[in-house]
Amino acid sequence: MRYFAILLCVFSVAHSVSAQRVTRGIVLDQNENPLHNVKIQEPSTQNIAYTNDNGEFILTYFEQESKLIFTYPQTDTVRLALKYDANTKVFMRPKEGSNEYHFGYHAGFLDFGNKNKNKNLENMPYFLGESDVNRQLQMLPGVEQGNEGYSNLYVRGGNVDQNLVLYNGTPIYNFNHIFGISSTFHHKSIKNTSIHRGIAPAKFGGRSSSIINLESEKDRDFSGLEGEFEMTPLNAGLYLGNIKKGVSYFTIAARRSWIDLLIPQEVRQNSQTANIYDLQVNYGRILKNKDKLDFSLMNTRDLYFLSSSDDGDTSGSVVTRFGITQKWSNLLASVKYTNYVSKRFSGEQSIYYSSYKTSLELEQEIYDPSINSIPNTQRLQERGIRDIGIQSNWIYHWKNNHNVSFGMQNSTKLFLVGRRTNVVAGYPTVLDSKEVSGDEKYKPSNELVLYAEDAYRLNSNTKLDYGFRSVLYQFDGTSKAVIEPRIHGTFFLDNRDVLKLGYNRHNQFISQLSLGNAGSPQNLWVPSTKQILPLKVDVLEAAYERKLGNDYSASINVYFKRMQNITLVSNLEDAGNADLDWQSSVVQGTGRAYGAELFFQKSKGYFTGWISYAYSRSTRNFPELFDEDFNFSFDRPHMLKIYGNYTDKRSQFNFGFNYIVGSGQLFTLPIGKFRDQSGNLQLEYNTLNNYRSNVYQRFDISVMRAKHTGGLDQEWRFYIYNMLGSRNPLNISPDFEDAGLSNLVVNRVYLAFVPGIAYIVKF
Amino acid sequence: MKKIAIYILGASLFSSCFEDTIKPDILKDYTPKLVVNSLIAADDSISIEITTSVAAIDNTFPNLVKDAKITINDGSQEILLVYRDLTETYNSPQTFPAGTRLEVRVTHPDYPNVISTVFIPDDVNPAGLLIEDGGIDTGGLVGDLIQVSFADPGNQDNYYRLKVSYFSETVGVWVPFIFPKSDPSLAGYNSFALDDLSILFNDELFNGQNKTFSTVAPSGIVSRNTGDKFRVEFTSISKDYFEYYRSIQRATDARDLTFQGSYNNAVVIHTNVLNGLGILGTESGKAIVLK
Repeated sequence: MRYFAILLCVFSVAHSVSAQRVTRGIVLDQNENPLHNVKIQEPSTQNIAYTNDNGEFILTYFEQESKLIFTYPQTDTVRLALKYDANTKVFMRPKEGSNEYHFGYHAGFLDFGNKNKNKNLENMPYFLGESDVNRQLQMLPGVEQGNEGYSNLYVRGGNVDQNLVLYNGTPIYNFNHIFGISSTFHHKSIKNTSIHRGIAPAKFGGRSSSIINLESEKDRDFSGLEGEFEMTPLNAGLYLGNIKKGVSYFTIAARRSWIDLLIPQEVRQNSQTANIYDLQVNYGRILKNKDKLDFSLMNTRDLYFLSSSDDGDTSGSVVTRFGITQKWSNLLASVKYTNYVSKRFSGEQSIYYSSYKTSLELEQEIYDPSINSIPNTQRLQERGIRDIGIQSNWIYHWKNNHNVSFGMQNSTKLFLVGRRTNVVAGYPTVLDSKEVSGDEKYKPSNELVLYAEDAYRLNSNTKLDYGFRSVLYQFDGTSKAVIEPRIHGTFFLDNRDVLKLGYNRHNQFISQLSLGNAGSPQNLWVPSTKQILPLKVDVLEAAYERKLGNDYSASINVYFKRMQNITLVSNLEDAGNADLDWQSSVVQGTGRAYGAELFFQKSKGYFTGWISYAYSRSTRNFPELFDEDFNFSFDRPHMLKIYGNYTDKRSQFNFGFNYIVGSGQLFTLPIGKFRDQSGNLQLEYNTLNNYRSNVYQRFDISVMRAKHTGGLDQEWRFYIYNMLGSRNPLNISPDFEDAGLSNLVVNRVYLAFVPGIAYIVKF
Repeated sequence: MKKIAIYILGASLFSSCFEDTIKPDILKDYTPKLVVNSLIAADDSISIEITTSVAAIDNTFPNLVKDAKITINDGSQEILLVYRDLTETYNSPQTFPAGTRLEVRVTHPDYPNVISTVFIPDDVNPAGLLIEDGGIDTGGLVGDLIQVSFADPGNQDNYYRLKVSYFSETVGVWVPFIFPKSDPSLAGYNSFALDDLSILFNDELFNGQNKTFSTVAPSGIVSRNTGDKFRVEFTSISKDYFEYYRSIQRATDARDLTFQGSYNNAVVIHTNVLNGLGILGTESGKAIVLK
């Protein structure tokens, strides 16, 4: 905190000695897309500034009457006189046939708003017809789904828990419904999805593979109320957005499964039910002093209940009911205040709360007419994490070629690794009791972050972002301080291509122990401890991006990652036992990942989309499991992905397709068997993940039919997942007939021809 | 109508899930290996068992190999082991002291030759102590307190095996009993128990210190014994032997799991036999008889 005060003081002094005047603004094209790297110059001076990735600029200059020159290769030059201390929107008209590809952002960054825009993602084929932001990301190079059919994200050889997923700036700790089949986000609630695949500005950190930012709709090019009702096999959803352009917004999106509602209520209460819902509410407005205020709320829940009865005696008068209930939920809330303290200072102050809770309850009730009470036993296992964050992020315009970002972020995480409650009540011969084992309370950890980064414009062709992110971590009486360097250079080679180089270090003080599949509620979040060291990852990346013709662009990314202190469960049974110390059931190791990604996209015309190819390798080394390096479970050396869509807003029919072909998924099979020293049979695995399944190939298609009836725009969307019927394994399991390990059969389960449908009404 | 909707939806989902059986090449192309198992103790004769591994899809049981050639070289001499039908092992009366490095070679025309280099660890000369009625057993009754003390060599990783037995005069045999892992140095990740009730552990939590392990025998278990009462086997073991049994323990635990959790239920059994499988463990120590 003291350092933060000193930092503020330094910038204040620097501010006071500056005598020049300042104007600020944002440069947009006619569709209100930000224009990056626009040169703004006061004539006959060296007062030059460039717009940042968001199209924003601040210029220190001398004369208010000077007509500033806005120069951008793809637009006509604009000359404007701007007022001191003003915040101006400047529109520039692209030249006929110009290529509007956005050269900005760090190496490895992708989004659907600027870098990879106009892809009509609503027409992408989706699993079961459920529009899913995770599946959009899965089609990008370097992002893999993991197990077939799942809505998980594995970025460049990292695990799922190495992704920091932020919804309006708030981290979410389980972004899956239905054990990983679907994401928790209503697609209409997300205006833009962006991903840093390794290199990230100093403002972001805490996870080592990626930062995924999901931003809700806050503005659009018209004011008014807009809504959409959607029905898919999984959910019925509603979205309402009331936006007063440039003034305020209010959006609400909600989904709920509907199949369970078809089941009689009595059955749902007494026998079985399964339902999911999610809700996102966002409100924001621009205040009179031009500051902004944003509120965001999100709630999700999955509930699964199954019960059975057993007539214990021949008369049938005594009935025992068994029930199992599994549920998990997220609750996110945040408030963000964006303020302009002075012409040079702007900041974002935010507070957020995020909690994730999962529980498994086993219950037994005995109905015996001879007993007045209902004897029952309950066994409840709870896990969860709460994250309370406060952030103060600032940008200071020091000089025209220096803009400094700095801030303080504090995250207090509370862990409930496992708490088991056993309740016995109502038995005539046994005293009522309640026993709690495992963690009785949430255990806190704290991460205090101070960061600073200077965006330094060396000259018209070179920009250097350099800074650091320091973390002071505390848990259970131990402290650890780390500093992460953040370096990124952007070199504009000419008007059509750019070269980027970056190096980051990330420390991750939290990990998720996987006790099953990623996305499963069984997985538990755990803190770094004195014994379990924080994950440390060094990332080195180079990127080359180029505009091709008027409509196309291409990029090549090459990266290398070194991972230390990766945590892996070595004993699934004990790790999931709340009564035992989870630290005894994990091992730590190292890993490496490297690869090259080609990305080619078309962003104009009726037919848009992209082709990506990724060569990537990812290995792990856990000396306690195996002496040598072995491939990461989701290592896929070759992966070609194509997404295309034909979208004509006036047409009744539109369509989209995904095509993926690449290396098969890895599984571990026993290759032999032998006698151990005690004479027992053991299985021989030459290494872990020793079997790569057949070539992965998948072709998905979507067809949209729109019609306008009854004053409403309606749309039917039809999907088929894996239309070619390729046998991409969902699971491969070696099964022996008996304990003597004879008659091995290897079964493969796969998904093919999975239909999907969605009905949409827009209003 | 509701039921029809559910059936249609359910049927369309389940009809998209298929299962077939495959025979991956890595199972068909398996090459059998020699499996070498032995625990070589300091100052004791040598006995080695040789078997073969078989393919996982093969329904035959791994066979004994009776015609292999086994040599042991300690740097000054090479000895040849001889197969004995009675014990089904290769044997040599030759003994080696603690601190000896041995190279074991096994050759056979039908299998890849294997080699293993082992080191017999030094004995830490443990001392045992019996205090009659010196403690309270797990049942809350007064029982005999058994202690074993030793000085753990510092600046190196050491591994130990501890086994406690009582002498049953009725049948005239030593009967092992469970040594409780209540000592913090025997925490879960540092130790594990074998089927014969031995405990293997490492010195991670007491490296370089004088250490005493204590246990209280079940009350009255040797109250009528007139001679030998307890036996404490305390040996220094090789790291490979420790890792071998730790991996077997993990494999046993993992096999009980009913679902596939990535490679969590596939455990590579540790081996120090190059080009082969099995373990050539070493140990040195003593059995302390307490009267």
